[in-house]
Amino acid sequence: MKYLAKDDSKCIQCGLCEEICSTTYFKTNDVEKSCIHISKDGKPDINVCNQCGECINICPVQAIKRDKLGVVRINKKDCVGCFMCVGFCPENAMRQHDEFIEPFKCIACGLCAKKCPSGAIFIAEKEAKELAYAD
Amino acid sequence: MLTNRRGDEKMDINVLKEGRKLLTEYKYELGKVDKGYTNRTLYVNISENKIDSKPVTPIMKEKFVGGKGFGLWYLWNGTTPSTKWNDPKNEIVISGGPVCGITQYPGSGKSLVCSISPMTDIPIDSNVGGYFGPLLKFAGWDALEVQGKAEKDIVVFIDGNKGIVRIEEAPLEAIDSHVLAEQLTEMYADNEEDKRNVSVVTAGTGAEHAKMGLLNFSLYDPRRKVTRFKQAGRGGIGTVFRDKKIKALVVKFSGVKGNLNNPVDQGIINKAGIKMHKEVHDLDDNQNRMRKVGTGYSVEVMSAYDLLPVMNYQYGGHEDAKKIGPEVLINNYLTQGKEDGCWYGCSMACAKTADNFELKTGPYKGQHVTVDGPEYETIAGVGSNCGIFDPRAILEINFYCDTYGIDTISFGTSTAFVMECYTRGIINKEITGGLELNFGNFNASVELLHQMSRGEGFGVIVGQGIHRMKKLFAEEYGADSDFLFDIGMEQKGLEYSEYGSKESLAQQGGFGLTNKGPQHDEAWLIFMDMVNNQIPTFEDKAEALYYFPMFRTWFGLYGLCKLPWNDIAPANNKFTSEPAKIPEHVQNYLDVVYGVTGKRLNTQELVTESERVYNFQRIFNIRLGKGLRSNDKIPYRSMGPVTKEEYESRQERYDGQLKEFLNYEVEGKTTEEKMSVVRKYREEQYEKLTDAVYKRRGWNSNGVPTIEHLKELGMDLPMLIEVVKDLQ
Amino acid sequence: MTIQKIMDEKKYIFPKIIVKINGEHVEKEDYATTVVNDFDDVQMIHLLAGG
Repeated sequence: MKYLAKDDSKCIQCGLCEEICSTTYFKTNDVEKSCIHISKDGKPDINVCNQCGECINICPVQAIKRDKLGVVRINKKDCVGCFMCVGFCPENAMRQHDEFIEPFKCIACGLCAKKCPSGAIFIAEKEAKELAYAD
Repeated sequence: MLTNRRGDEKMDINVLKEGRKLLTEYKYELGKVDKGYTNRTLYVNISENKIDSKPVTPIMKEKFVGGKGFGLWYLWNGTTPSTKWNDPKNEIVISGGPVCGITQYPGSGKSLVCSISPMTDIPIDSNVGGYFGPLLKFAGWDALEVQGKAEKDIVVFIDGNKGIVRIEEAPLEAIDSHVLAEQLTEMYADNEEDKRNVSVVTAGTGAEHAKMGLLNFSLYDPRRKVTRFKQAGRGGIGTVFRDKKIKALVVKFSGVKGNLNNPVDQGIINKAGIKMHKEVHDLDDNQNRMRKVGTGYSVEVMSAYDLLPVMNYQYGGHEDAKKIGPEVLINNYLTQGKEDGCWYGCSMACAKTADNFELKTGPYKGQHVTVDGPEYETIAGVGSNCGIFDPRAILEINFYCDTYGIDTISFGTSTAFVMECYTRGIINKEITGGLELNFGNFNASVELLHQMSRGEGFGVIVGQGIHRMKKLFAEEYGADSDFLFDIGMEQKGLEYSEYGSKESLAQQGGFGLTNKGPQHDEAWLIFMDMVNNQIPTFEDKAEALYYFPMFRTWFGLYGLCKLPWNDIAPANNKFTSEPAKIPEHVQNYLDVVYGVTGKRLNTQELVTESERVYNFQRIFNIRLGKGLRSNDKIPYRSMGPVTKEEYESRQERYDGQLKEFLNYEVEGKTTEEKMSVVRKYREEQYEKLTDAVYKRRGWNSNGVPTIEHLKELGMDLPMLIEVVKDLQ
Repeated sequence: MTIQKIMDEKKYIFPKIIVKINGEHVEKEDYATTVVNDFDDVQMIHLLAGG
């Protein structure tokens, strides 16, 4: 499946990825509305969804599913805004902002990877460890 | 492999629809929830087929808040002091509360159901999960108030997207919940995805012949593809329901979103909710494992501490407790890894199921079903309390209780009573119609249920409850009524729930000094008292029997479940000054209430809110004849050893206590002599506790709220003063 | 006499226990090695919720 892969050691903490993400999807340059988060101090740490799919089983209304590329997507219409996926994400990469009643997440669109000057993030393919229940 | 609950039964929805006859239709404007309130309630009178909207008044919000408060308020105003449970005037009121229906904080979908109980003849308030409460609110209603009696079986349907309420005769649908709920969910949902937007309230055939009938509130499970149930278990409201010839209440609402309560501050709610989800995620596995096993986690622990009811509360533990303990349930019966919250956003997810369970008895024998449970109460009640240590047996009884609409607690405790009577020869095979009701006899126990469903046999007698059975056995079979009073674990007409209170004076009060009867929702102090010895003096116990009942019943005003309060604790909870109160979670609740309603409460104000409704309920009890000190008396089995075997099985403990507390020389004394001293002492202790608790609660020595106290609470309402003024 | 020994004897199997000796917390991993002396004030508070 498709996902945004990362190499923390290459990250220069420039923040361009955060900017392009929030600007594209929420029309504003606001790191709180970015699906990818980069640590600002200390060692570079890239926090972003790795499409593991743990959230799929957590969602009470099955609003989270893999699309045909294997990317984990939220159906915002069905989502009831409980944020259990946010609380249970093993990577703490499911995002939530109080202006929105549904959570949001990286969908491996690759825009940030294109902007990244150091190649720290890039779209890649991997085997799904376990596929979501095909309900 | 999960199969549909209804097994092989075919049901033609069109046939069922053809049997329907519209009695009345009511159209209403869809509204918006404003800070947790729709500000109107739905009144449905099924004698006159009249449907109306009533406004939520300022006094209702100020003094009664919502949920149980609204339920008791409507029940009082709709009935008179002489209204009996089966009078048309009796009501069934369902209400969630202002926080009900938010999706972010675990345990926010509860409702309270209030009615005059067939078991106690005083109001019962019963709490329940499932989707009905939240969907009812989003359909436009802070409460549903049903009064009257229908001529023939009806279904009341509320369409919350179209603004229509219908009362229809429904002759062809099933009555047992697991079939009926599937039929109605199928009938009213537009398609598979829509099924979760339909919730039904049903009872069952058992509730037609037993006084201990319950209500099931459904939730559709999209993964298991089955309707599941939570229960408004206590007090026999299912019996009232069927007596009114209500087959089902149905609500449909699609469009649930996280902000439908139109809260004042969504951010504060989100923060609290996500923090709790993380807490459950990180800590549940090493705490109670609610997500894996549900409330049944404590069975083995209770047995180890001598608190598990065994054989009608004679004993507190059994070596076979592990056979019905959490490991067995997790490994062999309970489906793991499914999202099992009974409302959206409950990450505690304690509503476990045993799926693809094959029924071995009864009319549904051979069907593979989904069993909702077993909860701790069911395991202890129909299991260990009846001497049954077979998980399969417990699950089968659990299923049939649910579908027949029978309270597993009352059934378990009543059956345990009957088994002890049978064992002691107080009743015999002739009386039981051939059922050998020895402890441990699963076949006899489950047959009682099938008899309740069919309306014939000894099962119907058991279904009347211990209070009525004590009278019957004394009058008809010459039983010793004093002994029956000692061993019959009921009070005010309601059976005890499944905890041994013998060794905890505080818990004796926790059961005996309650409003509705001996249900543990008010107080669960056993460990604090017995094991931790944190409340050694009468004043300490009285303080606990003031704070905890007020705190714990507060949840029922708002639509909140108590379990996420203390069945999970933050990592640093043990470092707080009062860890039993889980202070961080208390603050969460205050934050959530503010976030939804804009109301700023501190802990004292929280307690006062609850205390208002608590005192109202006490006075309601007085109004109906069971709210005084004499009604707070408890059976001796809940206080101490009734029989020689009980004393001698714990001789070291009882002899030790005689020496330590009474300086009593046990050498050379017979068991009977020692028992008599223990009994006198313990009965005196309970009286002293009662005095201390009444005082702390602002009641006089007869258990009547003083007018001064009512004034302090702002509850000196004329209707209440009228009842208590001559009892001061 | 260690904390663990006391708990074994009293059959304290419940996991959510707070143990304090003279007001100081003892962590679970230290139960087997923490010795209790005469005149120590030992508290073993169970946080069992019930219900």
